[in-house]
This record gives sequence, C-alpha cells and structure tokens, in this order.
Amino acid sequence: MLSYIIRRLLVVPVIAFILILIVFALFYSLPPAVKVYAFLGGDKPPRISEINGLIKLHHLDQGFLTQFKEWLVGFTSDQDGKFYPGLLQGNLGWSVTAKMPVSQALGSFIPVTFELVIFSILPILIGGVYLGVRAAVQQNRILDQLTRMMSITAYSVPVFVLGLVLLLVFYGGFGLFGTGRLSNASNNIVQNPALWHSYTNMYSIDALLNGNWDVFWDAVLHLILPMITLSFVNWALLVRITRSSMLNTLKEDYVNTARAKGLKEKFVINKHAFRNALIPVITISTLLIGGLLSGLVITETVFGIRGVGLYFQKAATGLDIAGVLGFTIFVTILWVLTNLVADLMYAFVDPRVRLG
Amino acid sequence: MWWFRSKSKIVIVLLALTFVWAMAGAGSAAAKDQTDVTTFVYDTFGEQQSLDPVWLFDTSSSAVAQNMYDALVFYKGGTGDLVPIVASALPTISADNLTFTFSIRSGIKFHNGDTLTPADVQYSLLRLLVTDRDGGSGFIFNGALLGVSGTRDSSGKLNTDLIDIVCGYNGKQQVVTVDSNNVVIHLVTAFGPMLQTLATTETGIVSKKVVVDKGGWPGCTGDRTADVANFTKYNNPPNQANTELFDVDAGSGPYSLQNWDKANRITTLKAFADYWQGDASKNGSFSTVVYKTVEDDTARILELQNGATDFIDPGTNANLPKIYSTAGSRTLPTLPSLVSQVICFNFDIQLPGGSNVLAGSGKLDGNGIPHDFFQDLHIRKAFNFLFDQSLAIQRAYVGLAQATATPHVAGLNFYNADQVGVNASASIPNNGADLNKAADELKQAFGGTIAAPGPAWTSGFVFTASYNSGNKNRQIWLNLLQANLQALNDQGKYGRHGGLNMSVRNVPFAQLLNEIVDGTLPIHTCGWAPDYTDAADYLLQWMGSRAVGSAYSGTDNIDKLPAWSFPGATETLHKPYNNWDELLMLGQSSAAQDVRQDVYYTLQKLYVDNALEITVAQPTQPEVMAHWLNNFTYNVADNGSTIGPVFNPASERILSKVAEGDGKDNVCGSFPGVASVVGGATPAATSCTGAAISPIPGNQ
Repeated sequence: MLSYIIRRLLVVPVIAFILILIVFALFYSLPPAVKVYAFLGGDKPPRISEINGLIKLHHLDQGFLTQFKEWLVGFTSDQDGKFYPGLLQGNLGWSVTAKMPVSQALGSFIPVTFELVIFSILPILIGGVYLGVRAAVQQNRILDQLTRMMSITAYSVPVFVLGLVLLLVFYGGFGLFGTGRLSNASNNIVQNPALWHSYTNMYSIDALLNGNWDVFWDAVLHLILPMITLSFVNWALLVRITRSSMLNTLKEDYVNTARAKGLKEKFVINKHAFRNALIPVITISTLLIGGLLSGLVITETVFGIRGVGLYFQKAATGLDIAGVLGFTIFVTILWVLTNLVADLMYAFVDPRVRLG
Repeated sequence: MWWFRSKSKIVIVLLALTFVWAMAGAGSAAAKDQTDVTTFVYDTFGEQQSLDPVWLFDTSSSAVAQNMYDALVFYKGGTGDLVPIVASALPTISADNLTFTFSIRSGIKFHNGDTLTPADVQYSLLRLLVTDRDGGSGFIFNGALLGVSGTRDSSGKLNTDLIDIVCGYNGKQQVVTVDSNNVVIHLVTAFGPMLQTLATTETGIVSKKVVVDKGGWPGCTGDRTADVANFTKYNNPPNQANTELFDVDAGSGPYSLQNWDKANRITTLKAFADYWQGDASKNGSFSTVVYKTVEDDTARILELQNGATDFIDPGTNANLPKIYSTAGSRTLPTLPSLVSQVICFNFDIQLPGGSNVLAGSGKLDGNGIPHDFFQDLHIRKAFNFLFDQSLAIQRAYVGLAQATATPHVAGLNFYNADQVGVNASASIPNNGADLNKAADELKQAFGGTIAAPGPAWTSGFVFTASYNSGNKNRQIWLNLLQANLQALNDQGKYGRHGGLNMSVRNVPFAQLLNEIVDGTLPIHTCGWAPDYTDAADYLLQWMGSRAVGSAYSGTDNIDKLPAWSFPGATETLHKPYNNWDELLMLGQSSAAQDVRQDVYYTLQKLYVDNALEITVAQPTQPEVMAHWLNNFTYNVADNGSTIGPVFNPASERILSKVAEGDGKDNVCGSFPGVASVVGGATPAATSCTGAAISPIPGNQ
C-alpha cells in the first residue's frame, strides 16, 4: 500500500509539470508586448513607450526554454539586478478584470467557491450514492422509477435554466433566499471591520469563528439555491452510475453466496456489494469535479456570487489573459490532486489495485 | 429490510425539518431587508474606478464620492441654481468675470476629525490642476485656470512653466489663493460656467494632511525647483491606484467610507456623526449607504422586488416592461437627460510590438487592422452607414430616446437641430443603415476606388469592439453594428475576400476606462453626462485635444493624428488640430452669443463631415426605485445624475425611505436648461409633488 501511494505521489509533480508546460506554451505563443501587459501590470502598468524596454528587461524575446525557466522559477534581471518572481513564488501576473494580481484574485475568490463546493459536494455524494444504492436494491419499484425519472430530468436541464428557474420561482415568486452571498443586514455586519474579522473569506465559516449565528444562517440560506443548482445535475449522474454498478454487483455469485449463507440483507449490501460497486463511483466522483467547475461558472454568474467561476467568466470575456491562464493552472492542479485522491481511494477500496 | 425503512423515515423527517427551517429562515431574511429603513442600497452594473476626486471622472465613481466629499457649491434640488456648501455664501465675482472670491464656512470637520480650512480648499483645487491625468477632468479647468488645454504638450512633455501659475512664481498670479478666511480663484480667461464646474465631484475638498501623509503632492513649498520636481512627479499618474485617495477617505461629506470590498464589489458608507449639516442618520436619512455591483439584470430586478435594494440601474430600457410589472417598484422612464451616447473610434490604436489582441495582426491582411485604421474617413463613414440608429433606439431604448447627429444634445445651448447626421438620408432622426453606401466607402478606403477596391475590402479585417459589462444598451448597439457588418460580409455581390469581422467583448467599467486611456481599443462605447450645462462641456470633450473623446483615445497620441485638416473642413478650420482647440477655447471664453453659436454650429458640422464617431442617441433617463423611497431628487445638471448625493439639506436633498411606502410621487426636479423634453410625460415640478402615484402607461 505504502509503495503504491509513494509511486502515485511521485507521478503527481511530473503530470503537473507537463500540464503547466502546456499552459506555458499557450502563453509563449502570445506576442511579447501582450505578455508585458498580461504579466507586468499592477500599480504601475507600463506606458507604451516602455514596452520595448520591458520586453528586454524580462527576456520576453528569448527562446522557449529560457522563458519557461524564468516564468517558472523567476530570475534576476541582468539589467536592473532585481529578482522577478516566477510561478513557484506565486507570481501569476496581473489580472485586469480583478484589478489585482492573479494570485491575490484566486486567493480571494477560491474560498468563496470552495464554500459553495463544500455545501454542494456533500448532498451530491451522500444523496447520489445513497439513492443509487436504494434504487438498485429496490430495482423497478416505485423508488427506483422515481429516482430514474428525476435523474433523467436533472441531467436534461441545463444548469443556467435550472438556476434561473429556481431564482425566479423561489426569490422572484416567493421572496425566499436571495441573490449574492448575504442579505443587506448581514452585509452591513461583514463590511464593518469593527464587527467582523475575515478569517477564511467563507462567510459561513467566518460567521462561526466570529460567533455570529445570524450571519451564519444567512450565509447558509444564500447558498441553498446555488447549491441545489450545482448539485442537481451532478447528483443525477452519480445516482445513475451508482445504481448500475450496484445492479451489476448484486448479480455477482459472491453476493448470492452471502445471501445463501443467511447473512442479513444490510450486511450483504453494505459489506459485500457496496464496497465492490464503489470503483466506478469513485471514478465518476472525481470526474464530477470537472462538472462542478463548469457548473460553477454558470451558477456563480446567475446568483451573482463572486467566486472563481464568475472570475473566470469575466476574465475570459474580457480577454484577461493572465486571469485565464491563472484559472487554467488552478484547474490543472485541482485535476491532478483529485485524480491522486481517486487513485488512493481505489487502493483503499480494492486490494487488487494496491497489490497489482 | 427494517434498517432501510427506519433510516428512510429519519431521512425524510430530517429533510422535512430542514425544508421548513430553510423556508422560515429564507422568508425572514428577505423580510429583514425590506424593513431596514436605515440602510440605502443601490444596485448598479458599474463599479467605481477610484474614489479620489483628482482621478474619478465617471458616473459610477462620482455617485459614491459625492457622498464623501463636499464641494464649494452644489445644485439646489432639481434646479440649476447653485447654493453654497463648503463656501459660506456664493462667491463675489469681479466685473471682468476673472476673480471668484469664496468665503469658507467655519466649523466643517473632516472625517478624521480635523477642521477644514481655506488652505485645504486651495490645496484641493491646485492638486486637481497638478494631477491633470490623461482621460480625466483636467480639460474642463485647464483653459480657464491655466490658459492651456492641458499641462502636457502633444508628446506628453510636461509644461513645467505652469508651476508659475499654480504656485505663483516669476511675477505670475497664483491661480488659487487664500486671503484670511477667503479662497480666491483667479481665472486666466473668462469662463461662463465656472461656478458650475465647482459643483462637480472632481472639485470635492480633501484634507491636505491626509493626502500628504499618504505620500501625495505636498502643495506649493515656496521653492520653485522643488515645486517643479513635485509637479513632474505627481502629474498624470499612470494608474488610479497610484493616487493617494484611490480607496482612502479624506473628505468632509455626509458619509465616510467604511469599506470598499473589491472582491465582492460592495462599497459601504457610514453616516458621519460630525457632519456640519448634522448626522444624516439622525436627520431623516440613512445611517448606511451601500453601492453594490450586480451585473445581471434579472438579479437586480429581483432584488428590487424583494426589498434587497432600493434603487437599480435597469440595464436597458428594454427591461422596463418587466420592471413595470415588478411589485413594489416605481419607474420613471421618461425623465429628460443631457446624456449623449456614441460609439467611439480610436484614431491611433496602440499596437505595442506591432499588434494587440483586440486589433489582431495590426495589419490590413485579413487578420487584423492597422493602428491608423480609423484615420481613414471612408472607414469611419462606412461604419456610420452600417449603424442603424433608428433600430438601436427601438431595441435598446424602446423608443425612449432621441436621435441626434452629434454628441451635442438637445436642450443644451447652441444645439443645432437642423444638423443632419452622417447617414441621414432625408432628415434626422431617420438614420437607418445603408449597406450599399457602407460597401462603397469600404472599397474606397486606403486608396481604393469603387471600381478598384482597396485592401480594406479585398483583404478584409478583424478586430474586437468593447463595451462595459452589464450595460445591455451598449451591447445592443455593438451587436447591431456587428450584424450589419456580417450582412455585408455575406453579400456575395460585394466580392469575396478575407471577411469583414468585428467581435464584441465586455469588460468591467473601470477596466474599459483604463483601456480607453491606454489607447488599445479599436472601437468602444462612450457616453457623456454633463459636468456643467453648456455646449462647451460637450464639444470640448469630444473634439478637444486633451479630451477623452474618440479621436483622442489615448491622449499621448495626438501628434500621431495625421490630418486634422479634414476634407470638407471650412477655410477657418483648415488647419492642424490645435486650431480645433483654439476654436473650442473661443467658444468657451467668448461672451458674444452669436460668436459662440457660429463656433458650436461649425463644430457640429465638422463632427458630422468627418464622421468622428457613430452617434447613437440622447436617451431619456429611466429612474427605477422601490416605492418606499422618499424625496428622490433628479437633476440633469449633476454629473452623478443617476442618484446624486443622498443627504445634503443645503441643496434640498434628504433621501429617505418609509417602511411601507407612502404611495406618493416624491420625485423632485425642474430640469434646468432642458428646452426639449424627449418623449412622454415628464414630472416638471420644482419640488416633490406629494401626489398619489398614478399608473405609468404600460404598467398594466
């Protein structure tokens, strides 16, 4: 098991390096002057007359490998003797849409998104797996039919349609929940430094740390509609996969053998069938991260939540090159890490993986 | 199976409880918003660029800063009359109109507790002149106060001799002086609207101490050499974040800055307890004022419906029917405005390194456009012929706008109602698109003829047009332009080529403003609200060499404009660009009304003859607010006209709300200087009518 984990961990930086190399190749293909704007903005964005000098100063007219190395680890300029940090020092350039460094923008927006994902992923995983198992166990009965119908419906509804409908029905029709992250009353609190200290930029967590239950409930309430929007489609996929995987497993000989031995049904399902059905479920669960990310862009836009999804949408439509590349690197790293988690979970649930 | 059954019951019970709790909580959260009469919330699609008076020059920034900074004077209610604010009385003005003497009100406190002095007033006005940033408000003041159109020449070199006027060296009269408790402004040339310009947010009075402590301009030191060095250092800062008050409060206004949350784009102001006109929260107005950026139209409208906001930008007039049916809203769609809306060309697109992502290859090779693409009159005319002004007015403004030939607007002095637009076939306002003429112009561009088309037609082009996010009106204009270009592109009879392509992008407002000054945008949307109600403000802005209008997108580039002796120019104006400035200065300073009329009529003709931009419309101003909002005042002359200052009793502004709404029409305003009202019934009261709200046509 240990050697398996070590092998997997050793592969991670290699994959990450290759992916970042691909991202850099996109950046490298830009004209040098565009790179100056994309990466050297900030408090003192360059004047037109300074462009050529900055291209020389930052070696943006050099070859691929030189630029890649300096982009990655930074460099000390031979012209002014200053050290200019690279990707590994957290320098992702200047985001014109966020009006701040990309790293700072990601630092601001990721917690907002992370809060939404935390609240969404639990219903997806728990609800999806639970209902998938129940549907398989009660195949062709009412629950199975209802689950199938709901999951097909959910999978057919575009995220933006669902989000808008929920917003119009609940907020527009009944005045329930709301847009954004907080109500005005709570905003008045969190915008007042005398009343609020921001620890994580996740309002629900910060509210607990600040001991303010009103803001906590308010933050959670504002997460409900986005959470449903984000969860629904992904939940449907997981239900379908879990159900079919369980159905296959329940037909295996060892399950019949367990039943024949007189084991209680819950032990047969929980101990024998469920664990063996988990492999494809884990695969899909990690793929859901991608689904969540694409859904986030739309969900955050519809509900006006200033998270990383909305940031990416603004960066992409505003041709904010540094912002788009920064988001791409963020997603790249996220994918690598989720795949690592999936690999480790395979090993945990299936001995053949870790032994093979 | 009992295990599953019991679990199911537990899950169902838990879910039901959660649902009940959520519904109860959600409802109470919404109700809490609606009943909070101490907080005013304004949802807008824009976001302020800066809160520093010397930098800000857009309505979004102004709307916030108006509540933080008081100026010497301000408008009384909805009228054009000015009342003293920081000044204790209206100024005494010399017979030659060159000297304005203000006595300064005593007892005014800054938000940091310091007392406002005449020296702070002097410093604030001088700092504005010293800063004079590209794309800023400097051009309004430079002519009258410094006798120049800008503090830098066309190459961007600072005219350091101006320090003699700013600080009073070499026998020159210092432009702003302090005499005991008075502040005296000495004009170089007479300027009729001078007093009005001192009502703008840009002239808001700042605390010298706060600015200097933040590392800002130290003021005149008495050492000319040092002052020249400081002038050089603080003139034309490269970015709004470089000015000291970008997100710092140095004001004395009714509200102080509590927080500008840039990540969530929420700006919160708190009532200033020691405000000289009293604490707003204890005098009938709000304790908290919140400006929120909400770019999605539906979200803004739903927030209005649910009481989460009190005032919204409708985004586009096309949303008005939807808003009419929104419970709890009050919509005034036909208020006259002096706003002009245009699509701007950049005459010298900045292509650092030879290209930029918006202008493609930077060449006329089918993959981009060259830097001087819009210097060609045929190109500008072609794009004018591609734009269907009538359709744009219908689609974006549901007809609640007037077609104009130039950005000079109806209702202002010296507006020439007989001036026809570039593509007016018979008369204004019937400016439809004419694809045949557009094609002919494109063929003739860059040395071509209709028989032997030039490269713009044979090679085609690609570029990107930009507008500010959330502004649906502007999106509609550009999409209409794009559609007609595509239609032309698709017509085989004009010959096949690389394609005529324009894509459309949106960027946050503050970014758009920065990119306009950078000069990297090929085409972008523009609008203008009045700094003062005079023709000078408009034509100077669009045609002056230091203005931010289209031809000068990126004022560093003035000298690169090759031919200001445009074909068709009259003999008087058949000179390089600085004669346009001279003409503008003549119009600004002349007391003779017939001379001014000649000047401004000529400028309007020149504007059309040279197809300087694509004029879109003079729209009416739709004001959309919750019905419980009380005592809303509208003033066309106020450049932050969307909402204006929330609390300023001296200028008859005490915005408030009542919990249930009083069902009365509480809109005040008399709309000074507006001779023609565009469309529909317009409230014309000089004070709040207090009449019951009558149904708005279409609000059924």
